[in-house]
Amino acid sequence: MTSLSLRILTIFLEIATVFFAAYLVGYSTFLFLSAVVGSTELYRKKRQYRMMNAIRNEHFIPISIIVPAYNEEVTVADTVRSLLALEYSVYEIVVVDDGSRDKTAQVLIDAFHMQPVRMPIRRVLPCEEAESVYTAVHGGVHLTLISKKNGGKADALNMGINAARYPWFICMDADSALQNDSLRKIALPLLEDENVIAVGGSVRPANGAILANGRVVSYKLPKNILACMQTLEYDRSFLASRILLDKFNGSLIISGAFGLFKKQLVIEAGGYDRSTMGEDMELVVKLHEYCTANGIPYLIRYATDAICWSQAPERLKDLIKQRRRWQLGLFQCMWLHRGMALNYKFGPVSLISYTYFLLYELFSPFIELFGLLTILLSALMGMLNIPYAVTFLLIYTFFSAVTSLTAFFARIQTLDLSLRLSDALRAILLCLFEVTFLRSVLVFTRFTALVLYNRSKRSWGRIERRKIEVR
Amino acid sequence: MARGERMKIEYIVYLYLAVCLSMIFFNIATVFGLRLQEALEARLRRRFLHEIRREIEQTRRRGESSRPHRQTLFRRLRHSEMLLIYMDAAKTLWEEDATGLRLYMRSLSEVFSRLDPCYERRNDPIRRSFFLYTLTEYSTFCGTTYPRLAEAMLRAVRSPNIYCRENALAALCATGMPQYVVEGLQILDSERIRHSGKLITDGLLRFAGDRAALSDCLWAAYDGFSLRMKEAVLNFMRFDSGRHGERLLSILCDEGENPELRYSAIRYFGRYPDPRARPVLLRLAAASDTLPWEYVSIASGALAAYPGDETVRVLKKNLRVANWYVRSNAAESLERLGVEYGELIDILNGNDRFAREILAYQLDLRRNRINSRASLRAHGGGQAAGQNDTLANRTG
Repeated sequence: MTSLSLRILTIFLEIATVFFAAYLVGYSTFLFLSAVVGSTELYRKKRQYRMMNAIRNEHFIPISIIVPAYNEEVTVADTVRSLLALEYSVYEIVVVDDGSRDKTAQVLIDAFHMQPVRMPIRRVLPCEEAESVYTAVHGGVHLTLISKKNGGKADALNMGINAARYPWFICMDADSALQNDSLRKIALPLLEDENVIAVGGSVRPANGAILANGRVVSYKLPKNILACMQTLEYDRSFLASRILLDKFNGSLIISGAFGLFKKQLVIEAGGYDRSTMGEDMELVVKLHEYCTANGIPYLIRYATDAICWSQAPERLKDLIKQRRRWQLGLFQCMWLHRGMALNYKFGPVSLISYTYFLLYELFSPFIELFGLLTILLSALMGMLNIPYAVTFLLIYTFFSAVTSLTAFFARIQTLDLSLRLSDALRAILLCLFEVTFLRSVLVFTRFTALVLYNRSKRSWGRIERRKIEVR
Repeated sequence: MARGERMKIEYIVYLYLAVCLSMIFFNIATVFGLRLQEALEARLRRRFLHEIRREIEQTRRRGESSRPHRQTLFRRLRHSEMLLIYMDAAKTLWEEDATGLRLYMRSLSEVFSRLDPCYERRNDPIRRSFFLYTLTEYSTFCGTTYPRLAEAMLRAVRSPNIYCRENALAALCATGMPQYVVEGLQILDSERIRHSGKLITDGLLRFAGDRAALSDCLWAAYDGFSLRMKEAVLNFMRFDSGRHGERLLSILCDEGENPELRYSAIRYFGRYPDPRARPVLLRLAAASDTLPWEYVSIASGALAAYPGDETVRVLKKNLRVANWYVRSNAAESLERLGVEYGELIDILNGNDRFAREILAYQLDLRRNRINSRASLRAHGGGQAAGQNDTLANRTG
């Protein structure tokens, strides 16, 4: 190798080192701040609740709960049952059967004695036409089932919005269950500030939970190791990073499993985008853009104690399918709204949130692969201090595991989850495994998701369903 | 990696690690701390129960609680945790001996008045808000309120913290004194503090005293309220009772009045039918060419409470209006009026597809309701309440 090429390589590796140092410091700082802010905020909220700093109103805001469903015959009836048990006086349920090939619609019709109606639906948002509509009333709650041609989840959600009668709507998944106070808790931010246009709820893996009459009667970490590791991952998100992003109105995503939106504003912004797979994130980013562009003061909040229990995949191939879909959705969303990148008009939403998702979620598989290659190159050139590299890797891995545990142990400060000793020990044992094995699998999955992008079809993504244990 | 070594970035990671580990230990310690706290609280609660029972007897004999008790109580209740346990014990005794507790609590007005500046001075909104919550319970125990405490509540209404404001308003409503409530609302207006109208309405509905007196006071102050406050007050009147027809009729008939207030008035008369309102509602519902759609739509909904030929005529005409909400409300009202199929056949067989569809939907709902009731009777009764028409649940 000539001295010039050697020099070039050396400079390249030095630049790469600086880059990766900055990259890792940035990521560590984000994880650290998430964990600290999350724990502190949950502690403050618990103290607030104990000291009667709560809104105990009875004047409810009318809400339509939209449940898009595709091949959900196993879980949909239980989901609707849990919704009918909500402690909330003014709401309706709209289930949209998106051309299921199983008996999703029939299960609901039989379970709830639904009857056909000729309901006119004003298709303000684009969606496939309805083929049939059934309704029933249970305990004063109006239940509507709309069967339509298959058009995808976003299409089904748009149909639900078109049919909804109330000014606020919740989107949730057909394989999820709410607690009886979830609706009340997710609506509370609307009373605290009139500029709130959307509220995200907290999603927990239902594997390992038993619900009865809308309350959690038993909860422990799932037996399935994959589901258990995902619980740690969910805690990192919902008990840490989302709380941090909420602090500066920087939430770029509200989980499709449980989110509350102002209907009129969503309609004005164009509704759910039917061409993307990440319709939940795309809607929130679109709302940021729409409100900023139109000078509308707005807040997108996160309600830590509005709980939705949702199934986490227990088979690796289902998890891979799910994460591939998420990664594709993320890419589509970021590309669609690329105008938000480093755009001062959006403030911290662009400079922090968008940048974080771009670097540490979307591009991270490529950056990490690049990192591995530079390490290999350094080793080949004899420039790698192997003991230092190994030590640093171990420190960093340990740090990642500790931040996961910090978020996990923050559940002590939640109002409804207690911590068993067995769960704590399992979490400690699994966290290292989670940040190494699961993370590596997911990095590879996310990497291949974009590589295989052209071959993917727009679809719901079928994963195996198990019944949520609801008594 | 050589530059990485020189940068020593792992020190940053060490720092973060240290903080995270501290938080984990703190959270774990919280679990053990909570158990200890529970045991301690139980002991303190038993002690308070014993003391309060003793002082209730003392109050019965001598007309007031003992001075040493009041002095000790003031020192202890400056700590919010102690106040929490104390009020918990008082709630237990309220179930046992409400009369005795009332006598005892009335003798403590000085103590609670002296506590207020302690909680205000600390600049901790959580503690302040909690103290205001205890004033709600204290007012309930005493069955009256004291001017100094009412002043404390009124000061707290100005707080930038929503929970302080909300607890202060709740405390004012718990006093049962309408003049304090009205003064609280006036403070919100004068300081331009934005507090949710729904929370205000809800608070007013939980007023502990004479609601008729409250509504009289609110009407007396009404003209001085801001638009937002007027809306909240009118919503309270709507959920309160049908006693406010006179005032609301004047709002309904005043064409110069703010539209939002007139909408509230329309909704009021939809809930409490008044023959004087009928011609106005009919005129508003028929004015789809001249008035904003909101008037026509809400009036169409209100007409469900005014059966008659003219009503049916106006509603049938509104089935053909371009606006979706007008058509929808008109169809719903026709169904609620129980208009028979024969009277609607001209619409159902007419050329206007939108009118046909919206009306057919309402008739389908009616048919399904009848079928459901028949099915329930056939299966031995059951809860007909479960089949209530959801249309009646719409608050508008």
